[in-house]
This record gives sequence, C-alpha cells and structure tokens, in this order.
Amino acid sequence: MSADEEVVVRPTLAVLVKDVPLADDATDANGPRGLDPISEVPLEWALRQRAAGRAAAVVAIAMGPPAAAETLRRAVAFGVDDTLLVSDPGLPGSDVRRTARVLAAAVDQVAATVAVCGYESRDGSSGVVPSAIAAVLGWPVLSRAAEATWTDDDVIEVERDVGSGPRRERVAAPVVLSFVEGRIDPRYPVLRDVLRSRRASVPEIALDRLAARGLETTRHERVVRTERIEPPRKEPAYAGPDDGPDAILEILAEQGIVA
Amino acid sequence: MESFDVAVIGAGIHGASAAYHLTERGLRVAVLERTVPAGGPTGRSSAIVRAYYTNQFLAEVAKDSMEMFTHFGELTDGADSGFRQTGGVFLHAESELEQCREVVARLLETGVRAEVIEPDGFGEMLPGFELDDVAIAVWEANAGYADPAGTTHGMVSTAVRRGAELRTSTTVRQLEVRGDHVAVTADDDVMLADRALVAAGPWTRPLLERIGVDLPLTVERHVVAAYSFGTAAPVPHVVGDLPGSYYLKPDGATHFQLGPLDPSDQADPDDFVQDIYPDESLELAAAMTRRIPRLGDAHQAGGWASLYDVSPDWQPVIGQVAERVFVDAGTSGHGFKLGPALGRHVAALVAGDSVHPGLAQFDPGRFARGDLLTSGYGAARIIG
Repeated sequence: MSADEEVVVRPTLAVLVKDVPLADDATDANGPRGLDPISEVPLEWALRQRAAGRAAAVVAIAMGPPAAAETLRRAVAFGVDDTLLVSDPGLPGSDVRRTARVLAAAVDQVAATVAVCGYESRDGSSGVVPSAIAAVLGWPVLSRAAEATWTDDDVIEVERDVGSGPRRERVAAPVVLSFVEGRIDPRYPVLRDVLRSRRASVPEIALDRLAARGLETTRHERVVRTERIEPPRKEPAYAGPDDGPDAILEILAEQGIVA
Repeated sequence: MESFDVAVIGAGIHGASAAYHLTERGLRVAVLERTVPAGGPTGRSSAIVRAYYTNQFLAEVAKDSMEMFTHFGELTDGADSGFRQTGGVFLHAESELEQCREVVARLLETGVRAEVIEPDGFGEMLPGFELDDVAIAVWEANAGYADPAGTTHGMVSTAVRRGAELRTSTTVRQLEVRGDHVAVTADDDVMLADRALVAAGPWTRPLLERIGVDLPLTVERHVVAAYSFGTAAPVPHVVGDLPGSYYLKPDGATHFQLGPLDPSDQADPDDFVQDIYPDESLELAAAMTRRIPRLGDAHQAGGWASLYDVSPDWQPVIGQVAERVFVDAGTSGHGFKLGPALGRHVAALVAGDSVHPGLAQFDPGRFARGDLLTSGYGAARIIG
C-alpha cells in the first residue's frame, strides 16, 4: 500500500427489524409472530449495499421478548452478518419515545452509522419511530424511501415516496432511512438457509448494559389495556365507464374533496 | 312451517355429497350450513385424492370418488372438481413391508392402480430422494388432488337444482326428536324433517349431545404449509412419507404443500389459531428436505391450520344414533376424497334403503362395544 492510498473504513449498517403478530387479528396474543413484512425491504436494501461493497457488515437489531430471537434468526436467513436482541422485562408496552431511545442506543452499541428500517410497523403503525430514533442520535432522517442509491462519493441518493410524487434527496452518513414497499423486492431466503438459521445464536442485551451508554431507563408509561377497534366502514361509491367525468366529480363533491 | 324428508346439517363435502345423492333419490332435502358450503374444514383441506387405503371398503369408495372427480362436470352442472391426476408415491419403513405388500395385492384385485416399487426401482422413480430408511414404496398412478371448495359447491348446487333448500349462515342450535319428525332449530327458526343427518365435522359432537348422544369424537388442529419450488426441480406427484411423518402435495406447477401424518394437539373449533406458526412450517420442511434435499432451494409461502374431527380409530363414524337421526362424521382428516362417493352409501342409509355391507363397520356403536377398526400404518393412521 502506498502512502497516498486512503484507507476506507466501510460503515456497519444497522437494520432495525420488528417482531410482530402475523395473524390478521394483531391483538391475538397466542397467534404466530415473526418478522414484520415491512422489515424485509430495509433488509434487502442493506444486503444489496453489502454486496456492492458499500457496507462492511449488516447487523439486524430488534427489541422484544426472548422469543423475538426467532425473528432475528429470520434476518440471519436473509443473510445478515450479526444480530442483536434488546430484551428486558422493563420493555413491554414501551411507547414511541422509549422505543426510539432503546433502538438508538442499540444502533450506537453496534457502532453503525447508517440505520435503516421500515416506515411503520404492522402492529404499532405509528410511523414516527424512525424519526424519533434519528432525533435521539442527532442524525438526519429520510423517511419513506422507495429506493436509495449509494454513490461512489459516499452520498446516498434517496427517492422518497411522500404521497405527492417522488422526491429526490441526497444525504451522507450518519443517517436514518425508513423504507416503503414497492420498489425494492426482497429476495426471500431458500428453505436450506432458513433451516440453517434456526441454529444461529442471537446475542441478547438487557437495558442496564445499554443504559451504561447513556440511555435513560426511567419508565414513564404503562399499558392500561388493549382493546380491539373495528376499522371504520366506508361505503364505496361507484362510477361506471359510461357515467363520464361528471359522475366522478359528483362523488368527489359529496365527499367534500372538490368544491 | 316447512317440512322436509331430510335435514342435512353441515355443507362440508360430506353434507354436500349426502344432499347430492339424497336429491338424486328424489327426496326433499334441506341443507343447513353455519357459514357457506366448504366454509369449515373442507375448504381448508389439502384435498389429496388416493385410493391407497388399508381399509378395503374405503379403498373402493375412494376409487369410486376418483371416477366422480374425473367426470365431475357431467355429474353436476358443469362444475369443476379441480382434479389433477399427478400420481402418488407412499414410502414405508422395513416394519411395514409385509402389511404394505398384502394391502397392494388386495387393492389390485379391486382395480386400484397400485404398484409396489422395490428399492432397486427407487432411483428411476424418485430421483434425488434420500431413501436409506425406506424399504418399500407404493406408486398409485391415479392419485392426485382436487379443489375441495369447487367440489363441494358443485355437489351442493346440483342438489339445489334438484330441489334441495340451502340455508347458509344458519347455525343449528338444537335438535329434538319428536314422535314423527325431527325438529331442527337454527337461530330463531324451527324446521321439521322426517330424518336428520348430522355431517357437521368438528361441531358434530356438541350437536348430538343435544339429543343425549355422546360420540367420542375429538378435534385436532393440523396445518397445511405452503411453499414454492423456486429454482428446484418440482416434485410433480403426491408423496406420503410415512417414515418422515409428512405428506407432500403439488399445488399447480410452481407450488407445493406439506402436512403432518401424525396425530396433533386438540383444538376448540370455535376458537383455534387459523394461521400457521413459522415453526410448524419449518418442522415439516426439515423432515421433507432430509428426504428430498433439492427442495432446500424452495421458499416458504405461508399456509394455514385446519381441523380434523377425529374418531378413536381414525375411521369414519356413519350410522344411526337415535330415532330418525343419523351421523356422517369423524373422517379424521382423510375424508375429503371419500366424500363424493361415500355420500351415495350414506344417502341409502338415511333413505332406509339397503346399504353396502361395508358400511356397517363404521357404526357409531363400535366405540361403546370396544370394537375399534384398524387404520393406516403405525402412527400414520390417517392413511385409513
């Protein structure tokens, strides 16, 4: 190696994945649980970056009960290098703020400088945890990424789907990215890899170990009760192919969408 | 108040088939179904079709059903049974060698196309299979799988065309045998029928308890796990892997399903986990990839849980249980393919006609008498 040659230390990528109920009824405590389908998108993106030589390693991080190790084994089947499960009796029922603090501490723990996750979880669906993690870390967040390209000059060009057409932004690490489905198709692991991953050991870390790195452990919230809320029913309005644009305008006017 | 010759309770494959054959006899039939036809375990069946049975009568019934699946459109209003004749192979350990040879010899006499494959033929028949623990295999050329919902709907709609009355979203709460009829109370409605046939699968036992009949039927939760072949060369036929305790069923050209052959845990039919747990899918996949290593390239594709209404000997429970009340249940997870032709025998029984002598063995009284039937091989009693 010549003296002029720069030694590039490739960053570690943290993928924040979630262990969620997989059944249609997310309140069924006995139903099957597993990797949140939205987590598959950032996993896929992270593994592509590693394959392209942008990242040195991909670490999947989850917060959950000891059984959530199964979800991290699923991430191993996808191909991550390492896993970390933050598990603690003091964690169940954590709100957005506490979740973000714990996950931010875990990102710090694995020394990652790019943290990626899904835009919202299947069960909690708050959609604000990625931003809250970024706030704790003091990093920028680019939310609802549909695709992101890591360029040769270490800029990540992000195409965001924010509901009003694609929006392109450029950012450099450290950064938090949250992904939406649609553009990045996860490559599902073959059975051989899934079966092999069942034997993978999943490192578990408790709060006091994370707390040593500056995490506030005081708890300000508790679960009072869980109740099932039926989704509001919306009656569909129909305009047939022969009705013309006026019929559609009329429906929109009835909904108060157009004047 | 309307009156019927027969009230059939349950529109799974067995109730549907009974209604089909009863209306063929010209009887006035009402079918009461708590959800929709095939809305219970029938619709969740992997619907494997085979005549490879140790029970001779059931082998013949299955063979007759195969004929019906094949000519289903002509037997109904052009309905599609979805029958795909893929062939099926059944793998046996050394301990089952003699029974297996004896069964195949008997099946051949009745025209079931079963064929014993000795180990020297394994390589050609089952390329890429690891068969060290397999002593003998049976190939059934006509085996395959059908569409359980399509078959059930075809039989029900044909019964309706012949005059049957189908009441869906109708839960039968009460059965009452009166002097010259049976009163069937569904929700707020009372229906009178000359006879009732309870073909309510896992709900059969609580319903019969209403008339003081207690049948020792239990309910087990069994999964059907789905996979795609991915880049792996497909297994194009059904596999019954008895040493591995699972079955494999192709589902179209790109997918397949696995399910267990062993007994499973009991479940409450009104409150059971209908989804498959990831571990359940992987347990089956682990056994399967030991046998067929190339399917390590397959992918998981979900799955679901179903219910089996299981009798103590894993054989059907068919017969009269009280004055005017008959039962057709307890087919223990292997009833679907029997359904279309079994209904003909059940209809004869309910109509008071002469029945095939083979039907008597399924008499519900056999449990009280301690007169249990044999079924299948070892723990794989589901082979029937």
